[in-house]
Amino acid sequence: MTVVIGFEGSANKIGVGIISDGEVLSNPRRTYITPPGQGFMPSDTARHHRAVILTVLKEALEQAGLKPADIDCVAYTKGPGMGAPLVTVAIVARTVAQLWGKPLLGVNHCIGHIEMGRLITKSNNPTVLYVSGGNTQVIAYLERRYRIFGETIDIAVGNCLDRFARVIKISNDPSPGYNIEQMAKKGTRYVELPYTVKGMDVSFSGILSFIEEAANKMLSSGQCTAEDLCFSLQETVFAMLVETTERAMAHCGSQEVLIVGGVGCNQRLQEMMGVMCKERGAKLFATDERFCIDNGAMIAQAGWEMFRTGRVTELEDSWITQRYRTDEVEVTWRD
Amino acid sequence: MAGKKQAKTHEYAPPPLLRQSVRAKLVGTTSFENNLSIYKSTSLCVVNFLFVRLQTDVVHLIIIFFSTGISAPVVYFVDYKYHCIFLEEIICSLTLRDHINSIEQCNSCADQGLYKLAERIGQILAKMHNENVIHGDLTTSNILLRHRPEDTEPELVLIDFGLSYISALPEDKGVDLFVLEKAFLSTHPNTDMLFKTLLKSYTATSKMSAAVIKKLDEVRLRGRKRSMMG
Repeated sequence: MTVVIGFEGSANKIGVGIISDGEVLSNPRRTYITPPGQGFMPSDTARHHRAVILTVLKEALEQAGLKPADIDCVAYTKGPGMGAPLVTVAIVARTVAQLWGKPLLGVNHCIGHIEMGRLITKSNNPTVLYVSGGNTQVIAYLERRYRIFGETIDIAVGNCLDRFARVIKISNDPSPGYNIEQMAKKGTRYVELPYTVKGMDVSFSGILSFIEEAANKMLSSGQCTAEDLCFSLQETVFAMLVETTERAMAHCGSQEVLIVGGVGCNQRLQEMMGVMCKERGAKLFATDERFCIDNGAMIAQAGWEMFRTGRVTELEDSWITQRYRTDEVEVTWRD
Repeated sequence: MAGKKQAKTHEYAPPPLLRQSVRAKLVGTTSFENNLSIYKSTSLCVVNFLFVRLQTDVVHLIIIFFSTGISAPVVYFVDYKYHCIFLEEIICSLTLRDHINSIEQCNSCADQGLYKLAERIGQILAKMHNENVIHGDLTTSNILLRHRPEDTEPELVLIDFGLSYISALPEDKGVDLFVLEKAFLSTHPNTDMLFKTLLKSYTATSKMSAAVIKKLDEVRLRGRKRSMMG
């Protein structure tokens, strides 16, 4: 039996999870929530993480009913992410690893999402759509790497949604994306927005500029409601994601789709992807907010896979990096 | 005529699905003497605002291709009512992707042929861009190799024009090449040299290669910013 504890804190979520041979023993998490109209700044986010991380760690051990001696490996997010929060989490991981005398393991955050999705849904070899506040990638596994077939050429889809939420002052509690999703259900009118797909790549910055410019004018003149804008934005950006995912599937001859990342728990995205999959006779795999949104267990799971193939990170190599592409990691645990 | 046949599906077995691309379904039919396939717009699951202009554009682009000697499926007939385009089916063909994979599988095969092929693809893409046609979805799955008995070397046929459009901007041409480069390198790891060969022959044939390659370099740099937080 191999037990791995995972520390995640690359953005505004801080989580500690414990995995034992494919079983999630505990996975507590806290979110740093900012007032409407504001994003989360790296230094404030790091301050939030510093304040709660030991409480979360204690919760994780208590819920799992484990003592530090039962842990085999300490995994932490090496990147990509915001510098200050990453450093905070890495320091704690390094410290407990030395206190407990356990090996350390730096994990790529994106790989964590993919491996958690594969574990929970039991999907075999899916085309992965990874959508979150910082990343938008269409990924397929090929020859020991998760290769990026399509991605955003500017901002992430979640970033586009979050920043739109700031423009019209939608609450960040529990998350801007969740509130946009609820409002979109009441939208009735489709406002045409730019639609930018380049092969398997997508672009969201033009859409954001357009809607930032138009939103308050359209709202004050009564041309449309905030709900209509939420609806239109979701339909447009999700259509782009479904289209590029389908293109990657057609290109790779894949019959499975796995959606991971924070935006992946959006029911409308899952619904649209489901329709596409049905038309192609493909299968859709998705998880809910517990595992879609950043969490500690996903880092533990990717760490578990890596640790089992004999990988560890020496103390002097246990740095963090803000930029760390999914395809940089050699996948030693898959054929 | 063919449109009516489509409508009475209860009388005819539905034609077999050959390939489902993102913006269209390709089905095979034998109702004509020639081999042909139907390019039928699918309505996807989204607000259906995108796909109206598709059919006329596809036909328009294919006509441009023929006038410049670039091989693409022949258009037989357009059915506006049922949103169908009747196209030649490219028989005796395989995708460039399968071709590269099969050559890579037998390591003993000399890959000189692949480099020659890459040169020819570069020339075809340059010709296409010289006509200001942007393919929009260049991948190794969307280039076919047709082996006809009378040919000494396979003919290269471009397919899938769902994202194609007309533009003279170096930016659009650069992005077109960038899309291919990414599809190429992610599908076929360790083929950097092959793509370099392709670009070299593109540069030699293209009328505005300097501007396009400059843009390509710019677009690549933009891409490097992508790896951020999650």
